[in-house]
Amino acid sequence: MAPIVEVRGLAKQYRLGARGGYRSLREVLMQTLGAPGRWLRGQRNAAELFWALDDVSFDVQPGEALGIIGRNGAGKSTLLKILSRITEPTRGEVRLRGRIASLLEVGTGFHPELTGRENIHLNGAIMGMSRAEIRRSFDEIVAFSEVERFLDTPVKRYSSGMYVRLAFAVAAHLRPEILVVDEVLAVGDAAFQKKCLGKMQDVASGGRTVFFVSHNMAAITRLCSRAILLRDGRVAIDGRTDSVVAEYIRGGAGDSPIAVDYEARGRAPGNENARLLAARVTSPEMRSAVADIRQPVRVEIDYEVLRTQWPLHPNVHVYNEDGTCVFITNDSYDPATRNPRAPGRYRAVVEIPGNTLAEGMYSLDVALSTFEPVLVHFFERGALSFQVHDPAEGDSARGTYAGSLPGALRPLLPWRTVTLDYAAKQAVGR
Amino acid sequence: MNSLSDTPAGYEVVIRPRAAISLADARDLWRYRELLWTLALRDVRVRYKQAALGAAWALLQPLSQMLIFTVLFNRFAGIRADSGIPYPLFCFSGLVIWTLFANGLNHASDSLVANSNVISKVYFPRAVVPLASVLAAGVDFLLGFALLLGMLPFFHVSLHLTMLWCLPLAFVAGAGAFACGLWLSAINLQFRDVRYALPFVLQLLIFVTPVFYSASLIPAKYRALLDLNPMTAIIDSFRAALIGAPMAWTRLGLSLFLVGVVGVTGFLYFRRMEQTFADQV
Repeated sequence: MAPIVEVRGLAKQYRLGARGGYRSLREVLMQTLGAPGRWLRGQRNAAELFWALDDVSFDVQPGEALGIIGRNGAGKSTLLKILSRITEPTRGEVRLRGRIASLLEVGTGFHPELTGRENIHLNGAIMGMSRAEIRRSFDEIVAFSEVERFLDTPVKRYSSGMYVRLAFAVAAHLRPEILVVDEVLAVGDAAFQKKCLGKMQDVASGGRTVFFVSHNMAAITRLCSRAILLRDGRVAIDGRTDSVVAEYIRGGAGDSPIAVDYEARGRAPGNENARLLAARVTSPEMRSAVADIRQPVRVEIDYEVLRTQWPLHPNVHVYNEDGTCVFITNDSYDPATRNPRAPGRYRAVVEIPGNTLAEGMYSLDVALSTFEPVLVHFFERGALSFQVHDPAEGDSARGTYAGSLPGALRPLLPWRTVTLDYAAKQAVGR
Repeated sequence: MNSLSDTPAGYEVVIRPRAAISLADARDLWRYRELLWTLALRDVRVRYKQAALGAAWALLQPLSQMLIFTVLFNRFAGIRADSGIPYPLFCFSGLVIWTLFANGLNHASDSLVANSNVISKVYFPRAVVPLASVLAAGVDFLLGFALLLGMLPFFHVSLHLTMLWCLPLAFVAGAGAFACGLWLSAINLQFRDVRYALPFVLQLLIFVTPVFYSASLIPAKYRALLDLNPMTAIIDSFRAALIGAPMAWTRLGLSLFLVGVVGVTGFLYFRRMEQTFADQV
């Protein structure tokens, strides 16, 4: 049987700076008038080119569920955008032997002024259904959405729950041969997610093809037999899901190690006051570079003081994979840091408590500074990296929620509930 | 779930960097004809949804303009209609077809921006969007045209077969709006200046188009200039068709040619920009 999707040498180039909002005519005129020479030469140098996808090839067989994983910016969204024809490739080609639809597009084109009935027709048409198909499925869609009574009410008067139900009902009746699910777990409540996952399983077992993009490794492993790991726009690995996921988690932490011995390497960053000897990350039950979200992460900085002159404060800068600085911590805690230390070797240790960092990759800068005056003795950018993983056993901050959880931090906070209402108290007493 | 038989066995879509213009574009547009109709219907519905007078607005605009023009230009300023049509009829017929062009162009130019949420999420040939806007303006035109026909007996103009020419002429005016709309909607995505400039330009344009005056009012040596505006011949012919006067075929041919040139270049530009629409909205 011919593959339902064939991807050959697919590449997409973006021009940095050319994106992001619209320009006014005045800006362009000013630029052009300001530097006519540049305009004549083609004015390309100002913009940086980069390949969001670079020579990607793979086949997908009918009925296969394919997971697509990779860090942010690895090219997952670009790949899906090309597959769903929202944007065109720069090179290469894709052959689709079936209709493609995406659950991300739930409710696309819904118009608030139109009634539920009108929106079913509109949304269906935008998603590629013929009018005959919509008419055929209309009753089913309405029944599935549970909004019969409000069918002739403009959807702007719908509750958000009704809105999503109606939108999903249309999407569920699209019957594409290829279904794309991009982080669908990020939207909607738990019940809706369950519905989506159920739908995906239906689709996959019904002989249709599913593309599933998620950062949720548990869901990917459960739903997909095969996965592709994208790294910097290229296919890094293509194979059985468990081995690809394992590789992603192991190698995903980037190029930095979890331990560096600068002294052994013969390159100890520093100045006449102090130098960095080694740095490492450890965590209980840490396998490869993956720390359990519930366990503390220890960062150790070994340094040598060469000259007793300044008070020295070791510090650690924690960055997540979006490049956001999650926090900076420095040692002003130990009273000994207020005075200059005698020459010798020291190990500064700091522990990031368990249930603090969110799941994801982290990159650490390690540094040694003096605050009055401000001096930096060494500063190793991206010296260490590691990953935080949540095995989702129910006792982390996510509880029993299995979906994607945004946020840079994931503290486990002590919630409590007091009963306010008398009737409720009675019910509890009974 | 349904069986896979919904989609024909030979179904295959090839996604690759596309040539500037190809037969595939036309095939794609045809495949999405139902969407075109649905979008046009949506535009019409939405426009009058929360308006108490509803679709009457489609008639009120040219009617009120006709009243003012008749009083000001005809009664006070003494502008006469030629070819023996009563001035109000002369003016209204011009306004009905001008409004088709102006509203069609206006909505088409804004259409890509207005539909950006859809464009960034689902594929369909993007040209469907401005085309649907022009179609929606066509619905308004049909209402206006019906009113125009209803007015004829009051002005003692009998119905002729030549009146049938009005519909293809309206089609040409709509094509003109679509042709310009291809250019402007694509430019508007990048430069929102279009949105502010266009209503103002259209306001000026009505004065250099013989909508409420006759082209014969213009000194002969400048008249050729007026003919560079494709709408001039279209409006003149529209009126001629209405009363059964001879049509200005050569000038109409020139108009068709101009509309064709703007349309083809517009489509080429639109296709080139189409590749970046999703990255720009």
